[in-house]
Parts: sequence; C-alpha cells; structure tokens
Amino acid sequence: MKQNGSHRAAGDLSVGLFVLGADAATHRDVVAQACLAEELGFANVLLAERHLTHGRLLHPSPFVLVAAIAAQTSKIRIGTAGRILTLDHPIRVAEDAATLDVLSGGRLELGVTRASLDGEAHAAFASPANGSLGRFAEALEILVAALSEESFSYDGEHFQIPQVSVFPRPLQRPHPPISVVAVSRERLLFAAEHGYPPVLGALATAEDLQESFAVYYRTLAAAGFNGGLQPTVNRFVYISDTDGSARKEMERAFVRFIADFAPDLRAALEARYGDGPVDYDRVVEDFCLFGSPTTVAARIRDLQERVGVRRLLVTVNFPTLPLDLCLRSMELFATEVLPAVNIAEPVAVPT
Amino acid sequence: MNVGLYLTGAADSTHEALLAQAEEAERVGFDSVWLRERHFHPDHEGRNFFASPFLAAAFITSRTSRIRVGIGARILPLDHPIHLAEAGATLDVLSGGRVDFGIARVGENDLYERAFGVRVDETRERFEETLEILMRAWTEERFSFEGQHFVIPEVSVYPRPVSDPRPSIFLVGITPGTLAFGAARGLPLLIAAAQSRGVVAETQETYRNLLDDAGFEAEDVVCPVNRFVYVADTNAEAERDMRETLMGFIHRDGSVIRDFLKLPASEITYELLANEVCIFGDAETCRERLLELREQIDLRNLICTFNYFTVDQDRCRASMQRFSEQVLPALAA
Repeated sequence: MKQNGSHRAAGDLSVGLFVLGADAATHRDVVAQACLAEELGFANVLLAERHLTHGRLLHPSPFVLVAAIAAQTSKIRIGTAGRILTLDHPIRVAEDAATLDVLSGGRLELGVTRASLDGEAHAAFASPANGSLGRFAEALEILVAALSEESFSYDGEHFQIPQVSVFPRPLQRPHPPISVVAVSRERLLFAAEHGYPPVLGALATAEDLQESFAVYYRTLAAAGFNGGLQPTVNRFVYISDTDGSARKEMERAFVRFIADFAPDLRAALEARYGDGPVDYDRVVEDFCLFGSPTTVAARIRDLQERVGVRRLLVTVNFPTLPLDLCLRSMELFATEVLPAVNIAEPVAVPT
Repeated sequence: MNVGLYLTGAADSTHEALLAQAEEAERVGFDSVWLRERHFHPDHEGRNFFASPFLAAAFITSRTSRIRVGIGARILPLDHPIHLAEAGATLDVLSGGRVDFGIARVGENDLYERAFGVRVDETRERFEETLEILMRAWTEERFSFEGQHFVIPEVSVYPRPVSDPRPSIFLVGITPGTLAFGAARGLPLLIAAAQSRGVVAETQETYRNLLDDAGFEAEDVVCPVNRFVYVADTNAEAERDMRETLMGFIHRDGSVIRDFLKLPASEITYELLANEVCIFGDAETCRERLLELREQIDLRNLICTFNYFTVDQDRCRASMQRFSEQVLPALAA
C-alpha cells in the first residue's frame, strides 16, 4: 500500500496557526506572531500566497517570511498553505523549499495550491488560471522529483527540464511533507488521487467537512493509498470571556474583514447565501469558532468527534481587529481552549 | 573604506556554518555580507552555495541588526519580475532597508536557462525588461508595462519598500552591452574577484566614462570590488596553502577566470594570480597590498572572498579572523 505524508494516532489533535497578512509595516508582526505561537505551543505556523491588490490579505512572498520566521524560532514547524505553483517555476519552488528546510533545521511543511482565487495575479504573471490543473500537476511532480531525487529530468506538456540536481538537498527525506490546498471539489479529488493530505478552507460547515472527509478518504482508498493522511481544517477563531462578548467584539471587525479584505470569501458567501450584506450571526453559526473558551473547546471537540478532524489550523489575526484583542484571543485560545481538547504533542517529521 | 564579506562556501562548509559566519561578520566589524545565486552544481555536493539567496538574506537579516546583506546577484531572466519585486520589497521591509540587490543577466552556464525554460538568446531582452519592471514596481504606486516578453496590466506591487526612493541595485556583469545598460541607469557595478588589478582599473575607467556619458556623476557611484583574500601567519604559509588550491581550480574550471583575466591559459601562473588578482600573505602584507591597491583603483567598497575553491572552513575562518583583527582596523582608518 502506498504511503505519503504524516500519520497520527487517532484522537490526537494538532493545532497550527494560519497567519493572515496585514499592512507592510507589520510584516515583523507576522514574525512576532510566529514566535508567540511557538511559545504558546502551536504545532505549526503556515502562511498563504496572494498578490498585488490581494497581497494584503495574505502574503506576496510567503517563503521570505518563512525564512525570517525560521531565524527566530527553533521548534515550531513552519511553512505554507499554500504556495501557488502555477505562478512560479517548479525548480525555483523546489530550491526555495529545500533552502527553507535547511534554514529551519528540517521544520518545513510545504502546502501548495493550484491558483490564486483572483484573476489579477494570473493576468499580471501571464499565467492563465483557467485550465491550469495540468500545469499544476506537472509542477507538483517536478517539485517532488527535484526534492527527493539526487538527479532528475522531466519531459512534460508544460515543462521540459534537462538532467539536473537541485541543491541544496532538503533535510527531511524524501521531501518535506506536502499538502494540497483544496477549496474546490476538483482539488480535493486531486489531493486524494495523488496521495496528498488536503487543506480545507475556513468557509466549510461541519456538514461540508464531513462530506469532504468522506469523499477524500473514499477516493484515497480507491487510488490505493492508506488512510493515514490527515486533512487540515482551517477555522476562523476569536475567543473572549463570554460568547456574547466574543460575538460582539468581533462583529464589526469580521464584517469589515469580509467586505474590505477578502473579496473571494465574500463571493463564496454570496454563492452560498445569495447576494447582499453578510448575515453575521448565520456565518458565525456555520463556520466560525467565536465564543468563550468553553464554547470553542466544545465546538472543536465536536469537529474531532463528528468529522474526525486531527489537524486544525486557526486564523486569529484579522487585520481589522485591534491588535490587543487579537493577542488576547490567541492567548486565551492557547491557555484555555487547547488544554480542553485532546492535543497531540507537536510531532516531528513523518516519512 | 566600506568592507564586506562574500559568503560563498568553503570546501567543507555547511549552510549552518555559512549562516554563522554571516553573524560573525557583523560581530567582528564587517559592513556587509554578499550572497550569490547558483544552481545545479553536483560537483559541489550542495554544501556550499545558496540557490535562493533571498531566503538566506531574510534569515541573516533576522539574526543581525546592523550588517547589510548584498545579493550578488539574482539572475533576472530566471524569474518573473513581479515575484522579484514583491520578494525584494518584502526583504526590504523585513530588514529595515538593509538588503542590496545585485542583478545579473546570465549565470555560469546555459543549463540555468534550459532548466528554467528560458531561451538563451532572449536573456538580454528579458534582463532589460525585468530591470525596468523592477525599478518601476518599487518606485511607482501603480504602473503597467508592455514589452516583448512581459505585458503587465496596471498593478500596484505590495508591499511598498521602505528604502527611499527604492532598494539599491548593483549590476554584476562584464559584457560591454551589460555595462552600457547599467551605466545608462546609474547603477553601481560590482567588480568580480577574478579580475586583475589592471583589468579592474580599466573596467572602472570604462564604467566612469559610460556613467559620465549618461549624465551621472561618476564619483557618486561607488562600485564594490571583490577580492580573493587569504591572511596566513606568514607569507610562506599563505603560498603553501594557496598555490595548489588556486592552480587546481584554474586547471579544473578555469574558463570563467580566464574570461575575467582576459589572458590565455598559458600565461596564468600562481605568481601572476597572487600578485595581480588576489590578496594573499601575512597580515602586514595583506594590509600593505590593500592600501597600495587603494591608490590604484577606486576601493571605497571592498568585498573580501575568504571562502573559495578547496580551502576548508577552518582555514577560512582563521583567515577571516586575522583579517578582522589585523587588517580591517587599518582600512577603516
């Protein structure tokens, strides 16, 4: 039976931090948050890539920030969820990933994604997103070959690469763990068919997740992989003393976040609920872990039990949320929620 | 004199050792460290270079507070200019403006272009278009571009650099076309370690004239000069340590060096290299040689390469330490 990626004992939960972008002046805050996440015991810290108009939401150059985080941390696993493979040459991505694995002492987690959700980046990079699944699949094959083989060549439809040895060699063998961001059914199936764990987006209800998990494991088994691969689930999180204060403190920040920073999340919400302003209560009920530590812990246990979530990624640093509230939320999460759920010790490298 | 360190790998150095050396360079008083971009060198077994100098620079600037980090150089045609602009700006923001961006048209051989899917005969156009896009992306809030290789609709590159008006860009190159292109934009030229002092003087003179012709004040453009340096306890020890390694390198992979020297292989001797190209000897000799060199060429910005060829990491570090203790103070004076 084929095996790929990480395996974790059932019941244990690994919790990582997904760091949104912010104003450029606070780039160093992203690094500071990663350091805090290490102190607070998060298993990993992951960044995602977006460009130009959408660069503020996430990170135009996530690998550069990951390198800076590697320099400031020593235990926490670091990486992307994900790096957009169709906007860059796969050899460059492989060299960068190997370099980060070396710089971090083997702590890289490499999430990749097919395309940016906005068209602007693909226009600017002259790399059409439509029909790019073939390029993505080739780029991922090249990435794996470049990282894991001493020397390789590739002759594909989109890439032709003569015999080369990519350096440096990553510390994690055969390669750092790779996951595939799967906000669409197409990519969820791709992840399963190719034996990669998926990263599922924040706008999925528990019921959506149940279905995605079922589809994923069914497809994974049909493709001949074992069931040890764990999808990662991203959740928007805000913790305050009570459910009421959490919802109230977050309302304005969250509505503004969706409206001003996250056009594709807004579009996804409109596709689900119809056009119009965000129905805050409904969105919170469906997707968000906003509440007291007790409530949020219960909802996480529910995701563990009902969906089988073993890898959770939490998004806490909304750029529209005052920094003091954001940091307090993160601390409450670490000190009061994490102890109340069944947490796995940060595990070292699979393979 | 501004004195930097070119951080190429020693024969046996690990990436960890190189990164530690960058931190040590700051501690012992160097003004900068420089990193280069190299790809696919199986004979070096991956120990001793950075394929991704931007990432190494992000790491080093996070571990240091004062020293500048130079990229010497990114090979522009291998990447999309928007990626370069974004990553460069991110580095600029993270480091508080401590990164200098060296740019080059081509790498050591055309395997780079073939692997990255770039046509060799397009590197000059791609290089020129990429540099223009990079400079505009860093200085203009919004811009669009229409060239032979890149068509970019109106965009605003994020983040905005903190360096004003933009991060500094250094040109690495030797062909007349590249020099003319760089001078026309007032870019400082980084002069390679393998050029003899006579060739350095000629190159500097040529470049000054090109800068003048382009309407720049040549005196204001400080062009760093890279030199191979080896400081031993005695001159005899320096020769003993260097003769074999240097000539071995020339015979093994000397074509690049011969291009820089502009000499046929038969005329390249150890004595010529030791006297005209390299700074080898005990501390006093190296000090005198550099002070003498300062009279002959513009040496306001010196970059020392301690790690090269088959010299091992221990000897590199010993040489670097003798340099920082016994040579550097005289240069700063």
